[in-house]
Amino acid sequence: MTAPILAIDTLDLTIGGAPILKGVDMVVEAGKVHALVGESGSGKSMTALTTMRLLPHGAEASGTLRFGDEDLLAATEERMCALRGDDIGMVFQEPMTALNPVKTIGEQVAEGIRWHTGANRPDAEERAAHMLERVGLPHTRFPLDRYPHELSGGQRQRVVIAIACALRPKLLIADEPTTALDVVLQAQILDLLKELVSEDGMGLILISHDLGVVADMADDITILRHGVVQEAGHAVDVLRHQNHPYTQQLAEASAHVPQWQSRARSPKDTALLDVQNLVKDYPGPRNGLLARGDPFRAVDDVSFSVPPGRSVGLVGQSGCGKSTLARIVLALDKPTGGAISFDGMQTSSLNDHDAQMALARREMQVVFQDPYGSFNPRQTVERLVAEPLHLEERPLGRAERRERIVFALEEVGMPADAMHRYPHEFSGGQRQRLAIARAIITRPKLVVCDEPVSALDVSIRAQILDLFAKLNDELGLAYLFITHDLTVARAITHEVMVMDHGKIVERGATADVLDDPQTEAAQRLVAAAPDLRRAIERRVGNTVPPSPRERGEGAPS
Amino acid sequence: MNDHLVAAEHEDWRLFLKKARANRSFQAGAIITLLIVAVATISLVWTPYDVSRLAIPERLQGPSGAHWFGTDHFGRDIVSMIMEGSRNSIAVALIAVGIGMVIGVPLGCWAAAKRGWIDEVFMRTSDIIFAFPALLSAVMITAIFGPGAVNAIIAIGIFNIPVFARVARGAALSLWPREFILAARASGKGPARITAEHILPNIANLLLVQGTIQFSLGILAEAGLSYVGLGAQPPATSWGRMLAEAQTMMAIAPQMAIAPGAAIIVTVLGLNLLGDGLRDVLDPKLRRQR
Repeated sequence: MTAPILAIDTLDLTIGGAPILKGVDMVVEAGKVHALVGESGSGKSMTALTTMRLLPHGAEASGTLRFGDEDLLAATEERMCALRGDDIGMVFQEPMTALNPVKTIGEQVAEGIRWHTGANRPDAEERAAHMLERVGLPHTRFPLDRYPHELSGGQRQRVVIAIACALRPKLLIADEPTTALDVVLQAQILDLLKELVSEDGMGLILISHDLGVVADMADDITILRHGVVQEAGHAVDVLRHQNHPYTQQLAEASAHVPQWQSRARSPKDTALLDVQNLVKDYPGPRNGLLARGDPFRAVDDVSFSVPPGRSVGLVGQSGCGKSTLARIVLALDKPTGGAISFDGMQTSSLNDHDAQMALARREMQVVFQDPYGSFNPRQTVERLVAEPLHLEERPLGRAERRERIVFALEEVGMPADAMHRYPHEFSGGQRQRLAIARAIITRPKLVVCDEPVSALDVSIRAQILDLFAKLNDELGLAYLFITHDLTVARAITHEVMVMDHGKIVERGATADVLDDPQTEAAQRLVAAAPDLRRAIERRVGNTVPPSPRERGEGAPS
Repeated sequence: MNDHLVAAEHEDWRLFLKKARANRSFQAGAIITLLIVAVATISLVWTPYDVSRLAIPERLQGPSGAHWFGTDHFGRDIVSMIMEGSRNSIAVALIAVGIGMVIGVPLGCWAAAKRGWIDEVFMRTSDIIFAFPALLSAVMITAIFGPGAVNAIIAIGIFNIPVFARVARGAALSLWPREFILAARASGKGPARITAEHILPNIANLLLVQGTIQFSLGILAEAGLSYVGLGAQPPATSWGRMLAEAQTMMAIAPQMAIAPGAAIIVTVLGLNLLGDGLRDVLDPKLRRQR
């Protein structure tokens, strides 16, 4: 066994006096993937930032961080500047913000090369071109003078990886590198990282909350909770045996299926929501003063119906048109063609001022993905949750209004005194409960959920899924449940529709479609979806990790 | 239940006071602003000396016990003139900012809510207004309607409209795609109601800061107009007018320029502190801190 690249020994970290990490030990070896797993607030990102010495103000670390033959905690800032980007690379979660929008991708990759090696511009650009080729962006198709906004999310993440790996670092830190991407892109990016690790023999710290991803990728694993290492060891062993109660708890939460009485209930014949031949075009880019390019068809001849009390999933890769479809169903956007009828009303032909529209809106509410962005930060929970109440035909008295708010809060498991507080005082999961309270306060018949759990930790996600199941059982709510996570679709939907390039390509009972996908688009989704149990089985039976081809990877995103 | 509500409102008010007490810049700003308002009010009924009476033998005196900041080239007491002038300066700047906000902010919010050609028309119009040097157009306006404080207010106010319209539009545009606005739209609220309930409270801090900047620019603009003789007309005075008159006397009586200059600085500083402090005190995110 060779000497480890990074050896963290009894690392303690406090920020402003509050303890963040307590005695963390961790060893990263060359050519190995070391997963750092935990829920938000467990200190996994802080461990990475300590290694980079990029800690916020007021942070104090003690212990040793042995990198090669030096202690990173004792290194000077000057020495750290030389190490960062050269021997230690970092990949961030959000590819949309990790690149400088006013510089070309070639410049951004070459920047680090020139800074650290003193290479001249042509040499650095040649190396940058070579690196971009390695991450799957050949310069015949992606010239160096492209700007980040001309690339998709998956392609941008490839550029970020190219920047981090341009100088063949000994250690690469990837902080949730695929959380912002859909499952198909996620599989591609993970394969790319794995390839780079085995080719360059670097050590990779993979920070993730997704046990499915980790089971597939990692050689070693460290599980953190509240800054304390819970369990560490060989990844497959740890995840297979689940000896530690916390490991077990995480594994259960990530495969959680709620108790849901209506799961087996057969659908009613009537349709609550009926969508016929829906089309949405967006105008093409402006080519000249008056000329425009061809329009972009985001939703292409889509028809479906949702019976009352039924939960229908809509799955697909990002950019396939699912969110556009949701907005049109909610009458926030006008369709180019086709018709929507909801509860007997032709909502696609109603205007915002029509009295029937208020009626339709009362029966149809929405829960969004981002528990932080979906509340006005300047209003109290009381006003936020009560927002849809103005749709009631007669104005409610103050006491009645409060009664409704308290009732809605109770239904989502929040205390009544939450109403006097502001949204920033709540955690992500609590805010999502508040968003659901806002959605159900008018007793709607349909709730459109746009990725409502994908920003949440696995244990919180399990609780919110339980809540959705309970509300369906008790209130008979119908859901249009948009997600790219097939585990979620399995947990909470009766039927599922697979969307690809604006069209619905496959539909049927959830289990049928996900167990035996027929179309190429559905197969791609199912093959790419990380799954803890399958990954462990595959790795126990066959210790060689599957090649990218086995997972059905096509061309780079 | 209702007791609960009253208690909560009471709580809010107490929190506001508590935070206001803890916020130094809010206190300093409030004290300075109150002092200036008090000085301007007192000058309505009393000043140490009568500023309309000339006393040539006492002209160009330095600071002394009788005249704290000395006298000008007509022998008028500078402290009294600052007090008199504060009314014109503050009124011109404040009303000009008011005109800009009252007209500009709704226009900007409307443009952001409607987008499309309405937006284009507004923004191109404001480009055209920006293309004219403000002073030139003010000269035009005062040439048509005659010089005086009221016309100076209108001229400066007109140029504040596109400034506030742009700030409001830009900030509102970045809010419209946010999910809480989508949620409000899904609740059936119209653009006007969403603007009032969600957009305005979230852009208020930007407008407040812009307001204090425009206020100081307003005082300077009034000074510029007075300097070319288009602002407050003698015997009325303003800080800008005092600065203009001091210019020729700079070498022999610097106190004539320093006093109104200091008055402008203190006023702008006070308002800036007040604006900053208010922003922090009203921000619910900072409510539990300190």
